[in-house]
Amino acid sequence: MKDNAVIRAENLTIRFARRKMPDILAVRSVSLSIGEKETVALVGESGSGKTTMGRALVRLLRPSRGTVWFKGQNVTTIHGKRLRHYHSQAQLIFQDPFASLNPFHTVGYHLERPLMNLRGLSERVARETVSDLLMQVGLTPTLVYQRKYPHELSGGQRQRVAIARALAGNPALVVADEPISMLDVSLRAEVLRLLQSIQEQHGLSYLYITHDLASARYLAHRIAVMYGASIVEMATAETLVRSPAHPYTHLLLAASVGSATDALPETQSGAPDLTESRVGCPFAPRCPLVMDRCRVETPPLVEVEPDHVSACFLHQEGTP
Amino acid sequence: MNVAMAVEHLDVAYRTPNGLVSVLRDISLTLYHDEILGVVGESGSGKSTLAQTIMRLFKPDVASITGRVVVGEQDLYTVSPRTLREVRWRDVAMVFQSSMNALNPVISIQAHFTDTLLAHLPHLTAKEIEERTRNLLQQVRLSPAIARNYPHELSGGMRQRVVIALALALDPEVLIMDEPTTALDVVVQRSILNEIAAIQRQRRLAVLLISHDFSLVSSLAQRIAVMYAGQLMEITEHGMNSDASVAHHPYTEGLIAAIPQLLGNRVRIDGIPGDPPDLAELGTGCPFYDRCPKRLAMCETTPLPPRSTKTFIRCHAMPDIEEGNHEG
Ligand SMILES: Nc1ncnc2c1ncn2[C@@H]1O[C@H](COP(=O)(O)OP(=O)(O)O)[C@@H](O)[C@H]1O
Ligand SMILES: Nc1ncnc2c1ncn2[C@@H]1O[C@H](COP(=O)(O)OP(=O)(O)O)[C@@H](O)[C@H]1O
Ligand SMILES: [Mg+2]
Ligand SMILES: [Mg+2]
Repeated sequence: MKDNAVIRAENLTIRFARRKMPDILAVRSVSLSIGEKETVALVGESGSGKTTMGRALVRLLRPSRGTVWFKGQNVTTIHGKRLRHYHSQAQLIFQDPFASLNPFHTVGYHLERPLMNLRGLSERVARETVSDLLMQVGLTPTLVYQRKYPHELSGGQRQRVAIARALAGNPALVVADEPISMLDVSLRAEVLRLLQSIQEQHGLSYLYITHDLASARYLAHRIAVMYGASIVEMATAETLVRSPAHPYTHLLLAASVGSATDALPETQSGAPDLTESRVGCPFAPRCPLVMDRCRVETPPLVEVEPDHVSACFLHQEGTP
Repeated sequence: MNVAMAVEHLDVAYRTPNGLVSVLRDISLTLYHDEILGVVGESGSGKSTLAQTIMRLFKPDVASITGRVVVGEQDLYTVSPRTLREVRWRDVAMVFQSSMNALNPVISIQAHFTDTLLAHLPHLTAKEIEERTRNLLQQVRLSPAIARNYPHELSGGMRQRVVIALALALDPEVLIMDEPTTALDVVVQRSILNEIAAIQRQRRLAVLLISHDFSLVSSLAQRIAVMYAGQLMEITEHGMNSDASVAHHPYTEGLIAAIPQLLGNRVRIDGIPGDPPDLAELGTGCPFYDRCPKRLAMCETTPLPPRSTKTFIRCHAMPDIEEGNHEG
């Protein structure tokens, strides 16, 4: 079988130890693949495991179980030189552009480093490449921006620097973790469009992490909805927002601004149980349609139509 | 419609080591009974300053303030300190930005209600206090049993509900909410907002709902005041879902075009080029001048035209939008 996925995660599980409390599984047997030039959005409430999943894909974390394939290579446990090389291929953009930049270094320095360390360019060539990168992210005149320090930039400009830095290693995959959530509305659109045009130019693949379904629909080809460490539904962006299948996706959509209804289904509140001993569907305690079975068995992701999977026993019962 | 609160010609400047920095310029707006008036603006546009100024929370050494805030018959800036204390909570209550983290960690939820109620109604009996607390908690859809809990035992959403119930404790006519749900997850946020809307209708409250989130405010408010760099650009009855025939200030238009739609057919989004201005360096003209696609030469230095109607657009490039056209 030909596999044109740039990245493929199979049954990833990520465990965190806690003090005096049972371990949690922040990601629980999650499989996900992203094709060439494809954007997949990972959407869900805070604590659902999105960031952990993203960090595992770019191997800033080592998964506890499961496999990460990058262009057909198993990168789950690589280390040392191979891991450094992988980091040039798979980059992460953080939510807070300020925290991810060093206040004592110029923009130019931030971009030269990865060019030299990840791509092995000489200092002279790196300098020239810096101005290309700044041009690509719209920070011109580039000479002016090269010399600036992070505090001299606006939030939107800092996020552009972070994007340029992610591009410096010439990656095939970029994980963008809530890249616009700290920016003002008038600046968000520019960053989203920049990500889009960079994808067109460089043929990159993105994992776009967000809690905002509307921006996910805008940027992504496919949307995966995460709840309580699991992917509960995945479909093309348009299908997911127009004909969701999973009860949690219904709830999330109803709660989002611009949805067809303001009325929320009656649900309990409360965070999902992330401990390993949990049995059943992670959404069962809040689900308005919960059945006895949901509390004892974990529903698998099943195809509800082509390119649309959802993890809910209702699909097997034949009801919505 | 009856006026619940009138803000007239508010000017606010913070006293800083570098001198006065003007943050709010000539803000006038009227809040009516039984309505939600949204105030939207980007971070730093002066929304929290407006809320705190309305509540008269700044000491004179922090900010220089001119203008009036009239609630009922009283101008909060001329009443005695004693009257001011009475007016706050009883007539105008406020939910602060991040106030869910401002609950006192060492006292129970019940004690918060007891303190608030007794401060204004010292004759209440213990039984009456308990009963009122139970009612208030139920209004925000919390179980009365949580009165025994301490703040840290509750989730963020539950604490925010407690804060809203506390603001309602003395049955105010005006409720000012500054980013009441910003730190919360989408689902919790929506359910709290739905409750705010229900309580508003039930009590016919006048609510000033302040938020950076234009689409969220659009879904809740009857009118929306759009702030930019300390000035009101527009008050409109048409938010995010305006059809193309509705006239808006160029800044508002920019915001609408910048926000991706969840379901609509518009697929394109366009940002507003540039960045919001530094308040300390603003000139006399329109603060949006640098970024405005419709700007005229005069906009750079000519102050925005004053407006005080129910809805308005303050823009030199849109002279045909007369106040009368926008009377609600
Ligand atoms: N380094 C860590 N150590 C312990 N627990 C963690 C760590 N990182 C994340 N978690 C926990 O894992 C869960 C998922 O977190 P995260 O992946 O950050 O979710 P999201 O990005 O969807 O908000 C949360 O319960 C969080 O507290
Ligand atoms: N105590 C203060 N002293 C000086 N400047 C302040 C003070 N509080 C806020 N500011 C400034 O006033 C402007 C408006 O702030 P704020 O009212 O908090 O805006 P918003 O709530 O819309 O984000 C900002 O530029 C902010 O830095
Ligand atoms: Mg996260
Ligand atoms: Mg504020």
